Amino acid sequence: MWTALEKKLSKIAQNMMLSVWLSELPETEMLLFRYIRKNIDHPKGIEMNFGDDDVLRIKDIAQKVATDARKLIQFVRFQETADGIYFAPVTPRYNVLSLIIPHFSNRYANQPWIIYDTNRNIGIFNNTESVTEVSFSPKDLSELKLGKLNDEKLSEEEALFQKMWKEYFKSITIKERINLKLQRQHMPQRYWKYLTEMQ
Amino acid sequence: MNEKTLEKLQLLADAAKYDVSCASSGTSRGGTKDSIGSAAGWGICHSFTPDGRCVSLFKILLTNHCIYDCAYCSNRRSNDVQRTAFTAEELAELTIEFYRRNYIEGLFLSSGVMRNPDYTMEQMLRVVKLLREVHRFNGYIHMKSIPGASQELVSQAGMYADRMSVNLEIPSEQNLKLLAPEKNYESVFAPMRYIQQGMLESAEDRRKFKKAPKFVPAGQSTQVIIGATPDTDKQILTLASALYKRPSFKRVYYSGYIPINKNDSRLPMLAKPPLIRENRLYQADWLMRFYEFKASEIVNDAHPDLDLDIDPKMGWALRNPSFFPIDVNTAPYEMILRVPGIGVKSAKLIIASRRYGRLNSVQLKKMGVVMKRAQYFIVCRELPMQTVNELTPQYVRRQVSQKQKKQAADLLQYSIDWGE
Repeated sequence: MWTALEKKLSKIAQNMMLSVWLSELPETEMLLFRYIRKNIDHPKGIEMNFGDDDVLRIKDIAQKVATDARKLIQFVRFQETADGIYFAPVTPRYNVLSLIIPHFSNRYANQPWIIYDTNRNIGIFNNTESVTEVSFSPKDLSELKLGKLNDEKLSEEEALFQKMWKEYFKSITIKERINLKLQRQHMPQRYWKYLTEMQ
Repeated sequence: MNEKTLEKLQLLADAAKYDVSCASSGTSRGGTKDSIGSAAGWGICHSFTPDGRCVSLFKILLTNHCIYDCAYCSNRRSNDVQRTAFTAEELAELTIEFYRRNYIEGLFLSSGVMRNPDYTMEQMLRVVKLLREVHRFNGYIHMKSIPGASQELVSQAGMYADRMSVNLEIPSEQNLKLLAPEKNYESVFAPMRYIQQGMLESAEDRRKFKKAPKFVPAGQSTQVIIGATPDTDKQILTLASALYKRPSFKRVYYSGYIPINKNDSRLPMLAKPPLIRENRLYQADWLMRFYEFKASEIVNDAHPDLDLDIDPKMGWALRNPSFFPIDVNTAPYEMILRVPGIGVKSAKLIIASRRYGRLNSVQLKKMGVVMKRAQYFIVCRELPMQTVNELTPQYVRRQVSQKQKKQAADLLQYSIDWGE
């Protein structure tokens, strides 16, 4: 059945369906079913008919998921641990970890890193050779949820660079233009826990 | 890397903050095995400061020493401020370490002018070369070109930077000469020409040899200060429009004037920065770049300044009611774009969906059309005929400007007592 869909839907629409599935929202199963049925029934596929409620909803959810992934790419903050691994805890709303792997493995191919979803208790680990899925024990996990890694786990210079970043962040603020509402609009408070500059 | 570095960082970041260019977009480049980093074409904002502005690049001055004395600048030579400078190694290391932690997309390097423009450019080039060649940095680099720099140095810089910019600052040359007598427009336009030339030559080379190196792949930009001089919005937008005609020009930034040097009689003592006007200018800029408007449609001799109460697109629509109403089910894309309340995204959704059937107002609303504004300018399947022509532009203007006044107030976080 997927091959029948592939004939009618563009790559964009296929990816949208995947995104909708990753959103883990309760309505997605029936929504996807209706979307698939309508596309199969229509001779050329209806992916561009945004007048149809289901098509529009698919696009909206896919957009929400994409936004969540994009915000993750923006707000991931790595902390260098004592054993040289760059570690970043995150709490995305939707299950977008798999969507951000290409960006990070491409950009940071040569430094080992872990991005960890503390709510879903799964993470991805790049050891510079390959990317794998990892999972922490409950004890380690509760520590991570505090937001910052324990100082003893961090490398020596980490504290220095975090301080540099915080001071930089303060120094570039234009006080005559302070607009906290605008700041929160772009950078919702739920991300602040893991942002070095807001800690 | 020590306390001294921290102090330099605070001084030089503070000195760099008035250059509002922040984008890391315009070029995309994958990572490679022997380098660190990549460039994402869409530009990534890693953080937002309490003034609501995005932090995408590590924006910093190499030094705040300066031989010039421009009235509006915090670094002018007659100001008694602590002067310092980074070494190329310090700056490169900071950039790499920030980059590794995903704090930034790359470096935005500017500088005060030490000794002369070319000497300054050479010092800046040292940092950028160190990053690219020794640290193998593959992320984004935005390098300022110093006004008055030679073609040779601008051309060298272009081989390392993704974007370059040189700031006009004042929207007209006669006002620039009042505030910065040592500067002129030619010293700014010359590097702009060199950058454009470098880009065109590089494109030609790449037509012949695919692997020829790219020159400033993300193009160039500039900045003008709003409200420091009596220049009108018409002058500013005409200038911006002329710049955008050049293929290498990507962005013009409008920076609301903030009185840093308080006792200079050449500058106005504004109580607050002109943020609403700045916002309207950005809206007008978007109209020119994405909505196919000409500058002369947005502002002209009869209306040389943008309306602060309503956005420029609504302003145009109310001055030209004869274009409306339009039928969203049949009108061409360019006309749908002109309807207040319909943005580029909604316009594209309308064009795509109307092939499957006539659209009604419920569907339009779901697609993101702001019906409260658009209702006066469109007809669709069943909207009643209460358009701007029956109700008069003055009435529509009254309806719309209250809401927009509130939105603008939010922008500034004032609270206005509306009474009732």
